[in-house]
Amino acid sequence: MLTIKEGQRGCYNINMGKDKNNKVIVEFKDVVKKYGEGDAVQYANNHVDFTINEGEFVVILGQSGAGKSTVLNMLGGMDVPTSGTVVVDGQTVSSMNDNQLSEYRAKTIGFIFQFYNLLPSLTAYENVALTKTIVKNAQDPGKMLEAVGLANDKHKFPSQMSGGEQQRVSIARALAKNPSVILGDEPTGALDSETGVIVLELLQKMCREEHKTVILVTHNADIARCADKIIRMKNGKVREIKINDNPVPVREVEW
Amino acid sequence: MLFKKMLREMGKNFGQFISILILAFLAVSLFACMKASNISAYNKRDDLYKATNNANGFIYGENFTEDALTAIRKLDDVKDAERRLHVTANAVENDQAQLEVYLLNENIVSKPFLKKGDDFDLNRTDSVWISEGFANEWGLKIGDNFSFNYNGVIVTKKIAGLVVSAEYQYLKADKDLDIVIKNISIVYMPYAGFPVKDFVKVLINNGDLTIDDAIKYSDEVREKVEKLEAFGFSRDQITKEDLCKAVDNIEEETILEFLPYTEIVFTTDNTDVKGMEKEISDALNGDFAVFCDRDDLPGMKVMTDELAQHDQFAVSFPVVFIAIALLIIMTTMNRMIAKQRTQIGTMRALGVKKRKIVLHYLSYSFIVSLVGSVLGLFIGTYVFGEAIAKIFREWYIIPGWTVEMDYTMYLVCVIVVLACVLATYLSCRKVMNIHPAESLRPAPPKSGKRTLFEKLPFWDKLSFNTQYNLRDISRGKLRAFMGVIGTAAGMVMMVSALASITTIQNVSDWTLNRIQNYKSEIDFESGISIEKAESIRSEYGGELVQAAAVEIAAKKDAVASEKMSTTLMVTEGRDFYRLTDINEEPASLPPGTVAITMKQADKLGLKAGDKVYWHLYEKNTWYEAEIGLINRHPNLTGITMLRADYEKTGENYTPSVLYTDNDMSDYVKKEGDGVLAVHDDADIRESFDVMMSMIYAMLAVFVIFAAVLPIVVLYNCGNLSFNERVQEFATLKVMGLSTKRIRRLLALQNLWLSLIGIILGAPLGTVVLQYMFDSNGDSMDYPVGAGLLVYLASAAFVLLISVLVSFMFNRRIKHLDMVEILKGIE
Repeated sequence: MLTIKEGQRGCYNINMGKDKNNKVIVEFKDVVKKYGEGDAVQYANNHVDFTINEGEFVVILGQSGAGKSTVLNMLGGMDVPTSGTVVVDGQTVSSMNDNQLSEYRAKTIGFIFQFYNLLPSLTAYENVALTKTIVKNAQDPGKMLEAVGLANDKHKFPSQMSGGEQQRVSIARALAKNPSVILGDEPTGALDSETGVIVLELLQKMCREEHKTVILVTHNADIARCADKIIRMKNGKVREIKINDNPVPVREVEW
Repeated sequence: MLFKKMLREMGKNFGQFISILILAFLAVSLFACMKASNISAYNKRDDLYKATNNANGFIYGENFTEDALTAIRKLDDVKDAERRLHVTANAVENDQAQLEVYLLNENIVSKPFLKKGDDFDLNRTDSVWISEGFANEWGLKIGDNFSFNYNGVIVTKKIAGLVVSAEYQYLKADKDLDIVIKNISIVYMPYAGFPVKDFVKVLINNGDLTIDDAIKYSDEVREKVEKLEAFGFSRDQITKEDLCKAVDNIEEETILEFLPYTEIVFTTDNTDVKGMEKEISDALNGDFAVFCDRDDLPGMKVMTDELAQHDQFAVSFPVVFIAIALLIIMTTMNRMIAKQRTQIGTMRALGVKKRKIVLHYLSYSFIVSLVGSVLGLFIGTYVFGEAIAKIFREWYIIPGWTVEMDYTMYLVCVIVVLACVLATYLSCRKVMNIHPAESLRPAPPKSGKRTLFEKLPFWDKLSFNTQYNLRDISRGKLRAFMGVIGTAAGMVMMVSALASITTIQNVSDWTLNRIQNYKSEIDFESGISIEKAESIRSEYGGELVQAAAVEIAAKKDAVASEKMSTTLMVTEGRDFYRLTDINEEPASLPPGTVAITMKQADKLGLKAGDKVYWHLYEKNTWYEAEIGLINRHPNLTGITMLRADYEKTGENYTPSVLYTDNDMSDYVKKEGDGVLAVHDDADIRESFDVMMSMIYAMLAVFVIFAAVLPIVVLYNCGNLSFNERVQEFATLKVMGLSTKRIRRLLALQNLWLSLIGIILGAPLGTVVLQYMFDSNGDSMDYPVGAGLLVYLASAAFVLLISVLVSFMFNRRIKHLDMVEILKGIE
């Protein structure tokens, strides 16, 4: 297991040679999400179609109101489409009931939030250990924190940590469940660029080395340069899907 | 605009605002309902006292002469005074009901209060004035004949008026455990209307008045008898018939002296009535038995105690509600204003004046608490208060008693509203003191820190749910405290309610199985001769008991404030009427000693082995006795002694009752048999049944409050806890925690708080109930007993409420909008 340490950041070189795997893990088929009726109807997603392969590092790009967060919410089982089908890892998320959605979120999805959403009354270690109460095969919280470079901070409470550290705990928590898909909603949005780099490097590493499918939503076009696939959205529709044959290492990206 | 904002936010936080409204309503309505009937009772009682010129001082003696009355009237402090004769008789056609008959030859002090018919008139010697309630129960009307039996003399008069006596707001027959209006009446009649000659003839025929008494009584008779004896006549030759004929020849005015005035009643402006004892004693040359004020007479004292009890309840119970309401208001407003931080920042950035913002938030709690308080004031007064007044009107007699408001009720409203507004102001001030630029940003997250619980050696072994909730409790101590207090208060009420049933059952068992060791009770006519009583005993078997009014004291020559009016029971020690010790178990009284009831011994500072001093109410001779037993009785206080010891004092043993194992269901009253009434223990059981029905009514009220309080408090706690943790719950939900598990997480904390509340509230329940029973005064000794079942049932009820409250959040957790909530974290 690789460990990123503060002193090693500069010299750490991420292996860019990823496995090419064509197994489709996410499928959005003609997905519509609308709010309101009649003249007042507004489309958050308007006939959205795309697929994502297993192990891909995907960035969904778009301005505010483009519909990218709606896509992420539906992928995360937090929202349901008005029509169309969402299939993740062979499961039709769009037709699940409440219990099935809980099960799906627990086993298939790891969610990373823009504002970390750590439980303030739990320490870093406990926030990660929380996953043990959710899934049976959760990974060791200590090792997860070690993997994100926080082995020495595990007894700190969120309020005692920096934003970057909190986000790394959030990543450790998402990974501890051993999910097939990691979803990130502007995971670097609340961070300075230096910290953002560390977080993105970590996510890219998970993708490359742990073969996790990572889907990030952002309005930051620079981040997209690191992705294998870029889904560009505008006004609720997919405007462009770009396969990036040469994703750049995170360190080379500036924003 | 801000008003619209307020209304919308109230709608959004409906649960919390409605809890504040309900608690403000409960606090004020509880105070109002206790107070409203009391205020009216006090006012109407004052009116009654004024209308009847009710006496403040009461002097009892064997025979008060005209000179004695004049001496009392001459006292500076005395405004009006009057002599009267008071006897206890029995109604002839109304189930031998007890009658307190007042024979008057003046009508200045303690006048009967007329409800219907004609005013009391001293010249209407053919008439009586009787209690209105009694007449209504028996269907007696103005103009009907009414007969009573006094010591064998049947007196029949026309009912001229239905009245109320200010001296008897509480009117209970001696044989009853509780108030039964149809069993007792006050009777007023002109002194001259009493057939004294018939009475004297009965005394002669019964052998209670002989020629020897006549000689002692009248110098004229003595002289005549001595003359006759000088001529060789013997006294024995004067027969009962001769004496009766002689009575016919005595003038009316002279014969009236056979009915001595036993009471002088007076009015005074002196507030320390008892302090007048010395001057009264000097005026009467010490020739009186007892001097007392209104507080010594059960007819007025019980009512005073009852009103004082209501005053106490009116303060103590609402204080709990107000305290809980304030806790909830403080936490609710604190949380709400904290949530509005950025809005406040925005308003300030837009230039809205600080004062306007503060007033805006103050108006939330002001309006809610004002609506709750005003509703509480009116519903508490006119619905709950009237219901209470209605119940008490059945027991106490105060004409015109209904409900009234007074300034204290408005004051409580103002206090509740001000306290709510102040709690809001304090919350508001905190945010207002933050710089506007800073308040535009969300508050920094609460810093997590090690809690006390984490020092537990087994902390690491605790489940996530447990650790999470323990930390949450540490973080929201006030909220947790509120939950505990709310459940504890609910538990206190439930235990009090259920324990009141077991207590009454225990008192019933104590009375019927441990004190009463007989099947039937035969009440004798007053003044029955010992020979006749003993002959009845030899016919049916059993034990004779004399009950008499006495005064007791812990020392010789005690002043009025050191004396206690109570009852003397003289038993024959045949184990039919048993004494019970302080553990409520049968105990025997050592010969040569007296038993004294526990509460009275405590009040006088007496213990076994000490001396107690006593005298019969109507006599002024004090006796000393050694205390051999401290006993307890649920509703009979005083001292008990054996007949042999009583007779040693030289007093005549005049039994009032025979307790027997004989089945008296076939008993048929025979004229002159000396029997007044026969009861079996069904009557006693009936009294307990009446008491139980009252307890059940109280139980219903308590159960409602016991349910409302934890529902409001736990719901509010849960609500605050839920709102505070909603983002955490959303996060957990996104992470895959199911609705059921989140509900369990929330329910677990409610359950803990409920359990702590239950444990704290359980012992307090019996304490509160004992306080309530004891606030009835020293005349009752009801030891509160609550078995395991009471605690288990109460705990189960409170837990059920807690679980139900947890289910109230089920829907909200299920429909938690993860997207919206997580979007809100900025």
